Amino acid sequence: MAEFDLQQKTLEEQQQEYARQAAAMLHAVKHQKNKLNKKHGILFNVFVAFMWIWAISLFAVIIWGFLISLRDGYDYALDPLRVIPENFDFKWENYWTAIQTMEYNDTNYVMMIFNSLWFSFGATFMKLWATTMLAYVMAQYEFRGKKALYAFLIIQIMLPVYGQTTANFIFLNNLGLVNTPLFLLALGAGHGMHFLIMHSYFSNLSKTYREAAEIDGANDFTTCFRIMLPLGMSSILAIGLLSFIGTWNDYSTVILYLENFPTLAAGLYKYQVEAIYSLDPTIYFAGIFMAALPTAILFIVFNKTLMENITIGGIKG
Amino acid sequence: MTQNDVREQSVETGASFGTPPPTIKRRKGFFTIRKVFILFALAPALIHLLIFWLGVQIESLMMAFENAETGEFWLGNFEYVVQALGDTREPLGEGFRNTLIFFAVSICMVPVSIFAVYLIYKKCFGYGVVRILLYLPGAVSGIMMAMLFKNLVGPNGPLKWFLNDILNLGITDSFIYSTNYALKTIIVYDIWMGLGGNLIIWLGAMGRIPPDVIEYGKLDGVGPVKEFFFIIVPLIWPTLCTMLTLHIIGIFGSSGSVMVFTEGKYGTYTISYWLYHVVYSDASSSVMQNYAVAAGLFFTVLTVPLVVVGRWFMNKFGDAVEY
Repeated sequence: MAEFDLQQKTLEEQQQEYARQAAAMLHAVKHQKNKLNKKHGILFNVFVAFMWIWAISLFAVIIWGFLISLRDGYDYALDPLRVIPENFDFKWENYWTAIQTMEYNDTNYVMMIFNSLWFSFGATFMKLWATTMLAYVMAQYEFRGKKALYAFLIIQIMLPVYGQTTANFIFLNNLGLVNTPLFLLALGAGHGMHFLIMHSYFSNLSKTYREAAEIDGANDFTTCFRIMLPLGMSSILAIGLLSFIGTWNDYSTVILYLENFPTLAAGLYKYQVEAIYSLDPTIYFAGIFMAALPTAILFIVFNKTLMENITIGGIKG
Repeated sequence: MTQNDVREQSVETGASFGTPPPTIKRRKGFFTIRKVFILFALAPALIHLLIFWLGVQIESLMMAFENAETGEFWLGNFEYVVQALGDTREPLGEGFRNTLIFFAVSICMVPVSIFAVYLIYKKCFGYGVVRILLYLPGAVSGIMMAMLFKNLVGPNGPLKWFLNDILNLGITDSFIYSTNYALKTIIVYDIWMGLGGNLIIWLGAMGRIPPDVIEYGKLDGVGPVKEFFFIIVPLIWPTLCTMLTLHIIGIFGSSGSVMVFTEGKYGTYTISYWLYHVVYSDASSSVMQNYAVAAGLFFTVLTVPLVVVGRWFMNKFGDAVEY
């Protein structure tokens, strides 16, 4: 009995000793952190301050442009440096004027919105579908020719063929895809950086989910659409958002291949080029801010999804 | 069903208690569900590759080696390219010089951007807001930010007012519409916008680092600077290599924001903008088109050794870390 008590006492002492050690370790880490902050604090904080100034400068310019869009055109021409309109007379009607007056190539603002919508959704869907399916199969399945296909995809990423714009334009023109919505077919590429991101995600996803579903009798289609893709939905959403934002803001592709279907980005770009001497900046900025609103809202709402679901690993070889 | 019935059934089917679970029997033959699924999944990307990639490459090769006037095999397009490269009065020569400048700027922005993301990763003051502010301009609209910047540095903008009216510098040239300043202005703009570039890639890479590694470092007395260079950089090395490789791959595609600012005027041509401009403006000139395609092919071939050397260099200086 006495021996048991002694053992019990030793155990308690040991536990207390461990607790003391853990507390000391935690204290050391905390102390270390504080010490480091003191030692490197100034340099670290200078960089942080510098980064804040940089970030604020970007945001301040956006706010400044927004305030210009609310000024009277005549008043702006007289005093372009003024930030707040005189007597706080904000001209919200500039936004309505922009919708009514801004047009390019006989396409008005509303039609440009429509073009932006079908082009962005269509291109995003095409890219996302091809990229996701390709990445999923390449990461999760073994099949004949897989290594060769992967090597080809990597070589294709590693070897950009410059000067493609000219050949691409002529090739698509010969196929009758230029200046028609069918041009979207040409945008359904599954390769490129988005493939790398999706492949990286699906490679890290355990195959046991798929195997468990198969043991339960699910076929490959069911496994893919009901289990694996929902599991990767956050990454798919992030890639989709990146693709949508990129397509919505892309003006050079639309100007070249879809001249008769100008989107907001393309139309507003061409509008400022052609109306360089008669441009009213207040109306123009109103038009631009409306065009930027959808992607800004998407970014603000989904910024966590975007920031936390994009990972890209190394390229082997 | 009694226990005996079950046992009998299991004997009939060959299954018995204590034996391994039955393996999934797959229908053998050419069209199994798996094969159909793999084909279904690969089809969109493969069809696109065959038509829109391979087709365009064949078209490129044919154009590059073709005399546009006679339709015969010709190497003259490449001779023009080599001649133009050494002459900065030619758009291609000017573009070559400017492209290298833009490439250097984008490479220089990589460590700055990584360090900024490191500060965000370390949860500096207001990190949640600052990451949104840095990335937001890239997400909203390239046209919008470029137009705002043009207004900022334009003749009636605050910058000119500050330099001329406050500092009395007497700058008469336009910052955009003059050969003296146009290229510099675009470079400044690209640097200004570049901090948030690839922010999400770096955040993603650092976010994957196991917190234990950072904690062990702290216990060993590693400070922020050492932590950045000896823990963070090695652990994000695979991502860094990939991004640097992509930078090298895109070396001759570095274009900055030339199109929206100057459309290549005032000495701001870049290779990629010139290649775009050939289609955009000279669509009817097949001589020019073949010349442009040959130039593109020339730069593609030039990229290969750069990528190989770059990869070799990166592999020499760091190992792939798996965690």
